[in-house]
Amino acid sequence: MIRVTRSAIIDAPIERVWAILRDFNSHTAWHPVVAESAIENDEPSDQVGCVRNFTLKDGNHIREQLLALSDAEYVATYCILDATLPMQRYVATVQLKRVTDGDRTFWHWQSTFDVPRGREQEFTDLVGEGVYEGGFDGLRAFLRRRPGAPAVRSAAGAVVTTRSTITAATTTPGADAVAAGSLSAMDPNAVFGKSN
Amino acid sequence: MIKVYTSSVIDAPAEQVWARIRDFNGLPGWTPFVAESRIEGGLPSDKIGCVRNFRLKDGGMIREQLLTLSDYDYQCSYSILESPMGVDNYVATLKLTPVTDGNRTFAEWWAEFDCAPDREGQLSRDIGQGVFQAGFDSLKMLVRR
Repeated sequence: MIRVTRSAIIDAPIERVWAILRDFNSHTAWHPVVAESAIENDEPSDQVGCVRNFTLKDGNHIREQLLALSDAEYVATYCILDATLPMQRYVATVQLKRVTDGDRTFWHWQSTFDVPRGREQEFTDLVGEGVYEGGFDGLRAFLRRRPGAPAVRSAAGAVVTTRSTITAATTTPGADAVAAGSLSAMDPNAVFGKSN
Repeated sequence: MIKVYTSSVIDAPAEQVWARIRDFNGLPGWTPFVAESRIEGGLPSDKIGCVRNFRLKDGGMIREQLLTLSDYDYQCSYSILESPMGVDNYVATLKLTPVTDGNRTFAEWWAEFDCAPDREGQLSRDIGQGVFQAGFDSLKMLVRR
């Protein structure tokens, strides 16, 4: 059993980060390695048990099921149902906590899974760096791209804050397609190319 | 029952921050508000159930009992046995979690307690900012790298 844990501080209030992460289908908007995603059977993306069916930019295909979602604890847990990657028993949990000092967010992302013998390091790096660290950077870039949010200082020095939604973000896939720098931590083609 | 929660980020590895705070008798060494402290009965300060008896710089005496100490989770919890604060059923927890991004520490400190309703606001501020955040600010200075 492999356990991968990554954590980061996001410079935005927990409500804003959670509004994005609680949407199980939002990852196309902010995660740099996700290409297309849909919730199966037109279920709402916050319905426990729903399945997101998505492709990565390297062509891999994954189906993941939402196992738990808590607006009270800011926690989401999900598992892989099937994937074109040789990962078994993958269960991951995202948990946010409020950083009261500075109104920021602590983001903890952890999973356990099995892979074929001899490929543990490869997948530990792939998940930890490519998926989780890449995700942190991708979400930070996403937050910076959303107009006016969390707060943009105008020329006059006033703080201007506007609302943004994930729906708005997904209408501009070109802008969201690549979070600069995030892919550098991982070259999915290189990693997955070694498969088989 | 009210709950006060304070959290911060300390720019040092969690094991290093934990080394500063795991000593239940060590408050004078890292908080700005404790003058002196001793463990009653000569017990080791990491023995669960031990009582720290300390004096605040403003003169108040407090006795607190160690309920939990986890070197695995970087977590410590304790209750107040006696204090001039006017609180009942006071249990507090201090917990550290590594932040892998930047090798820093996410520090949480919270307490639950009962008090007279008209004192809730003031006590929440005194404890959340005056004790917990003040402790974090002091730690930030001590471990600065």
